[in-house]
Formats: sequence, structure tokens, C-alpha cells
Amino acid sequence: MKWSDARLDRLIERELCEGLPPRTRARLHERLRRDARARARYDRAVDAVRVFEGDVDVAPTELAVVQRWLDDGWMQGDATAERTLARRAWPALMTALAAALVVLLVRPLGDSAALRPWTDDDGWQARGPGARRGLALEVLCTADDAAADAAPVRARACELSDLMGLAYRMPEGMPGELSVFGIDAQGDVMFYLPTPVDPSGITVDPGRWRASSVSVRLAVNHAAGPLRIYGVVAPRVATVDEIRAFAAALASRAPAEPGDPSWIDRVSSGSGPGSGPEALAGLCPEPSSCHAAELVLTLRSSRGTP
Amino acid sequence: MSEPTTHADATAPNGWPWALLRGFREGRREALSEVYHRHADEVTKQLRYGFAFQAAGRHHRFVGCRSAFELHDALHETFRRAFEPVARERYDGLRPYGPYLRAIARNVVLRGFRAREVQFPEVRADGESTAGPIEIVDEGSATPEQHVGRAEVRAVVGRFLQTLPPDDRRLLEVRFVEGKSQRDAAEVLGLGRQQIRGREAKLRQQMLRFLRAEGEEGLVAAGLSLPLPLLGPSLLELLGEVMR
Repeated sequence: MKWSDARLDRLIERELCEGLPPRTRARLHERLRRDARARARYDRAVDAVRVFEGDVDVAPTELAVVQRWLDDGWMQGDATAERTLARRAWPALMTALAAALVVLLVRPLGDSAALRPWTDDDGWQARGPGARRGLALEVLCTADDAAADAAPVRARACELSDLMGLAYRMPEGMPGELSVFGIDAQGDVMFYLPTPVDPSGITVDPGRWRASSVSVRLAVNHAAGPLRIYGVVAPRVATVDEIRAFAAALASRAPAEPGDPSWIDRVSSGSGPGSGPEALAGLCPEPSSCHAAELVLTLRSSRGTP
Repeated sequence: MSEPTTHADATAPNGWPWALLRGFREGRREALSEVYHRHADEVTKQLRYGFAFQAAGRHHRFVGCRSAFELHDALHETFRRAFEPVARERYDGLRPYGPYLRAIARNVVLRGFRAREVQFPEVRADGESTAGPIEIVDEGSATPEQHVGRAEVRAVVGRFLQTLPPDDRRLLEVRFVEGKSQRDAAEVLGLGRQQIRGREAKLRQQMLRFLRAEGEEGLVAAGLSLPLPLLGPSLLELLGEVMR
């Protein structure tokens, strides 16, 4: 692979400042291992960071870089384990989800015990005068080890021991690709669609509520406490890199309140890492081409305990 | 090993909280992350500055990872091995974890011993003794080449600092000269922690872009032959110069 020095330097800069997606990082590492000149550029950047961060022997940024490599390795392991577990658990969750969605279709404005407020004006749709209406998301949880026919499904009432599924709804005539990610109580980004090991999202099936193929075993890597979930339907699936940037921009902000613009508008109009119009230019080339939704729920470590 | 429940015995024999040891052995991500933070610094220094060892009756010295990338690669490999399920389960929590990790780091280095002899100059011939256990002495100082390279980079960072407004320089001083945490720096500067984090990230990125812009005409990291002083001014002095 032939990279110009400028591209190499940009990749090194991104790797040191925010981290590269695993595949891009693997290509960068391959280049650094075989090219002493490329390695010298990396080394020089690290040395500058060491001076910048207090003229230290080892900069905190360096340790954070290696931690990200380890994190991605763990995430890959987690994802592999989740895929294995999901294959086993998915039929039960799908059965329960399907049952829940039937309830929703029959009583879309109802307030059943299984599915709490689930209306056209629920809190997790895009709001505000500039909001782009369309996408709605819902989180459904069920006990991990419950039999399908005996598993109650809870909307936005989840425990760490649960399996979590996602449902979405897009109006007729609004196609696109759905991407979903979360930010947990520790500010860590949680990848749902896509993930670092699976770049695919979901091609939306408009018209009514649909269960997504996402099944997340919460105990694997989620922290107890508030979990914010963000979804976007766009002409293409977001990349893991874009999701990292969005999460960085959103993690420091308070969750949306009624009247706030949608999260993509907040990111687009904000400043700081991951924010600004350019942050969304690639995913949403036209303002009307994206539809966003978000919700917040509290993951409890056990029933009744935040 | 049973886990005591009294408050007085809240730490395991290795000095970790019992919950951390338990989480570590179970492979919980937050526990692995904490263990990494506790021990990454000491392992990094060992890998950076090297160690002496004796093998097959000959004395050698690993001069340390000369490249930051090699250092990061070796650090990653050390923790990747240490965090494998078998290694975690084998660790009993009775012995300190630092020496255990440093032994893994040495093994990571010694794996390339024969393939990369250039990094292991023989420091004393001793043909009389035969193969025996590898004897290791950790070392702890930078090479003259590393000092020279650092001095050159200091000059560039100094020029970058001159381009910053006073409030940004103050932020860097509080964080990296006074060594305050982001939380404490936020309090000192009357800002939110996220603001500190964001500004710091932005400044780091600006600094690297400045370095890149100066790169072609400035440093040539592969050819360090300029007669620069071994030790340039510290960051504090650099900041002091540009803040006057």
C-alpha cells in the first residue's frame, strides 16, 4: 500500500489523538513495522507528545493509545463471544420481541404492562423546530436465561443481566441505513450497528415497528447507570470511526430534553472534537438525508438497584 | 485462596482490592483496564530503557526500544499475553503483579533475541561459563541519542507554544508542569472537566499539525547528528520563555 507522507502523518496524528478504526490501524502498523522511515515519523510525533505533556519519559497519551489497542482486542473478543452467545440466545429474544411488537401493533397508544409509553410523541424521537422527524427507536430487554414463551419483555427497563434488543420504526417512503450506538455511564462508546468487527448496519424496512438484529448481552461490557442510545438513518451506514467521533462529541453533553434539536443537529452545530458541520458531511451530505432519534435509560445492576 | 469479608482484609495479598482481583480473574473489562493503568508505567519504562541479562554464559544488554512504535508494540504484546484467560487464571494474587508483568515484558523482548542481535550488544566476553539461567538487571536511563532527539523536539514544541494565547499556555502549565489532574485543573481554571479535556485534545492535535508543518524542514529523526545540547530547556522553561 502506497501512502504519501502527508497521509501517513495524518493517520499517525489521528491514532495518537483519538485512535484509528481497527482495520486502518492494522494497515498503519503493517506499514510501521516494515518501513523505518514511517516509524521515524511516528516516533517523532510521540516524542513531541512527551515534551508537550510535561517533558515526561512516558506520556499519558501513549498509555491511552496502547489501552485503545487492548480495548479493541477485548471488544473483538467480546463481540466474538456475543455473536456466539447471540446465535444461541437470539431465537428466544426474537420470539419475545416479536410478541412485544404484536402488542405494539395492536395497541400502539396503549400502556400495557409489557410495553410502557410507546406513542408517536414519546421522548426519544427527534424534537425541536429543526428536528427531522421520522426515526423512532425503542430498547427492549428480557432476562438472559428466560425461556422464550415465559420471557416478559420490558421497554427501557433493563438490568445488567438482561439481553437487550432494539426496535425501530421509519415512516413509509423513507429508506436508508440504520446505525445505532450508545454511551454508557462511564462515557464509553458502545457499538451496536455497526461494530468494530462487523461494519454492517440495517437497511430499514419502513412502515411499522421492526425488530433489529441486534442482541446485546449487557453484562459483557456495559456499566450500570444511564445508557444513552443514539440512532441515525442515513444514505449509508456510519463507520466505526464516525461513531467514535459522534460519541466523543456527545459524551460531554447532557442528554437531550424536550425542545432540543436532534443529536445530529447538535453535533453539526457544536464545536470541539467530533463536532461541527464537517463531522456529519460524509454521512449526511444533505440536511434532509438523515433522520435521528435518541433515548436514555438506566441500566440497573439488579432489580430495583441503580 | 479464600476471600475475607472483614474490612481490615479488604485488600488481597498483592495489594489490590479483592474486587479488582476477582474482576481481573474473571476478565472483566473495567478490572483489566484498572490493572493496566496501575502497571503500564513501570512496564513501559523497563521496555524503554532496557535491561542487562546473561545468557549462555555471555553478558548482554537490551538497550531498550529505540522506537516509540516498537515500545508501544511491546507494551501491547506484554499486556495482551498477561490478560489471556490462562495467564489471568494462573495468577493467584499472592505475589506482586509488577514483577510478574516485567517478566512477561522481558520474555516479549527476548523472543527476538537471536533474530535481532543488533539490539543486544555483548558487553563482556565470558566464554568460561556455560548456559545457565538468564540473569537480568533492570536499567533506567535514556541513551545519549534519546536525549539529543528529545532536545530537537523540544525546540519545535517551544516554537509551537509561542503561537498559543496565554490561557492555553496556562492550561498546559497547570496540567503538565504542575501535574494536576483534569478534574483539579478544571477547578483551578474555573472550567468544566470536559472543557479541559476538549481543549487539551485540541491543543495536542494542533501541536502535532505544527510538528507536521515544520517536519520537512525541521527534524529528520532518522539522522540525529546535529551538535545540540543533550538536555534542552524543560517544558516549564519553555512555557516561561513564551509567557514572559
